[in-house]
Amino acid sequence: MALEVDEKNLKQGLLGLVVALVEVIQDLVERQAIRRIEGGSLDEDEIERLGKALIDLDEAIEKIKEDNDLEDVVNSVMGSLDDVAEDLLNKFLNPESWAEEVDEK
Amino acid sequence: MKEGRYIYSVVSSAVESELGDVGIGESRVYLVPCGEIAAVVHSCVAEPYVTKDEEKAKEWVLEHSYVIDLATDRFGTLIPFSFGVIFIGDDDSVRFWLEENYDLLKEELEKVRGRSEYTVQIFCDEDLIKEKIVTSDPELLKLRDEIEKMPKGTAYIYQKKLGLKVKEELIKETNRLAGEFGVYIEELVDEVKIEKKVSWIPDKYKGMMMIAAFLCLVSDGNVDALGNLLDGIDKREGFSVRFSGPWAPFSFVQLKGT
Amino acid sequence: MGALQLRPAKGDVKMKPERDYGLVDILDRLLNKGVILNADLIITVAGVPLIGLSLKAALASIETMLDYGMLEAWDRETRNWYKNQLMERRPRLAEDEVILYKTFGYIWYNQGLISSWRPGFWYVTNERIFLWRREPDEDLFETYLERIASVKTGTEIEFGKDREELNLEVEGRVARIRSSDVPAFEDAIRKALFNPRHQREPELGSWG
Repeated sequence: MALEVDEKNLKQGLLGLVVALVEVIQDLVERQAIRRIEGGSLDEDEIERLGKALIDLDEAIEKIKEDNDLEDVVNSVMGSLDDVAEDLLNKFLNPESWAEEVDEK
Repeated sequence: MKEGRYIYSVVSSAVESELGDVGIGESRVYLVPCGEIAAVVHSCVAEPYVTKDEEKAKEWVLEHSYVIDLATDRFGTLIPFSFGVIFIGDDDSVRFWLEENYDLLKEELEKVRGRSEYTVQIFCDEDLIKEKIVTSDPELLKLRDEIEKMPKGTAYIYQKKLGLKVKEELIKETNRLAGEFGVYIEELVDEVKIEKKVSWIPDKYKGMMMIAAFLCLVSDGNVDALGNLLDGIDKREGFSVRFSGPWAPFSFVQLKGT
Repeated sequence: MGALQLRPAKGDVKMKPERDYGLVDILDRLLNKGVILNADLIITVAGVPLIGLSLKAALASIETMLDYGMLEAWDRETRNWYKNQLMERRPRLAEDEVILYKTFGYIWYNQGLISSWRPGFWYVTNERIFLWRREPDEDLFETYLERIASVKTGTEIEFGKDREELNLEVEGRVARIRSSDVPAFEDAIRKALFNPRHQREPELGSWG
């Protein structure tokens, strides 16, 4: 990559990566919460408490992103993660194309 | 230093001619004919074109693209080569290769004659479609109403649930639409491919959701009809179509066995 | 959502394709598509050795930078450059000047140690004949029709090939001209010269 790596970039890059991963976990936790509610294993108060905790988490993440100007970096990481995931999925479904690529190298 | 021939494309032409000093680095671009086909080349040293200077690299690629356009103008649809293919040797080396692959090349030229490549990308306003999804499903509408009345934390979780359901429906619906559009487009074009990775879209489409990306090989006579079809889609509320071309048939030329 | 309705065209309602000249569109086609006989290796195919190249490494970084939105100014610049190259550049004409004939050709340039055929686009207008080059934008030769003393065509033998040439005599000097269709060029000049605007009739002929 032709981007200059200086201290600020590096910090932003690493922070961005961390936040992106946290967002992935947030998403998983939220889905898990929905499943538990649908499964009927939580009462009204528990649901409300869980929801509030999730709101707090969301607000904290948004604040970190805003304070460190991470919106674009995080989006980019998410995009790359999508690409990597898609790539891996394709290779998994099409092992021949994986073999082709190795050959070319 | 060995002699080389940088090849831009193979065209339908039986005569020697030249395009002028329009090639990479103002090289003289000319034709090496063989039977009824010809290679569009320039003379160079048999060394690869490499540079670390990005400005230079961009210039080279654009110059190659320019020659392709010029040759298409003069000789009709051609077989375009990727950047940087160089034969070691002289005109005879090129001629020899043309001879060896004559039937294949002639066939490929015939396949693309009177046709060009076009990009069709269909975008939609995600929010608009999501709204339509909710309003046309009584269960989702009901959930949305109920969320208004829930306490904060509970509402957050149910909102996420609604969001996931709507997203799921959105993907189903856009896939269905893409399939439908694809069927109509296939009727009008000679060949269509799904573009797997779209590297760039113009600013005016940023913020919209891309639901289909097609590469089409279209006969000159069908471009208007295709335009009409795409216009019909573009005019629907929440949809936007990018119709780009004509391009040389880069995505449709495969010379197997060369 | 409703089925797709195919509507008949109302006059010029249809969508026309655009060549938007995005750098990445061009890069994508030239680097990832089109015919590649080989990349990175020297191989022989049926006895004809080939070499290819990979510019991909150098240019991949450009694509990455585009993802980060850093090269949009450059991209715009490229589009302008490309449009100029292909379409928009035209030689400057006077108000009543009309192009009668245009062709790609050469003029013989001889200045001390430097002599060669210089390429460009020949224009015959109702006022002048000139040779124009797009990049850089310059006139390599120009004369007003009334200054032409004679127009002659003939054949020169060069490297064992017969090459047709046009010679324009202007103010005591001779301009040697080549183009892909010399007779058509000569014809165009003839027609331009016999326009009643010009009082003097120049000498026309050929040499053996």
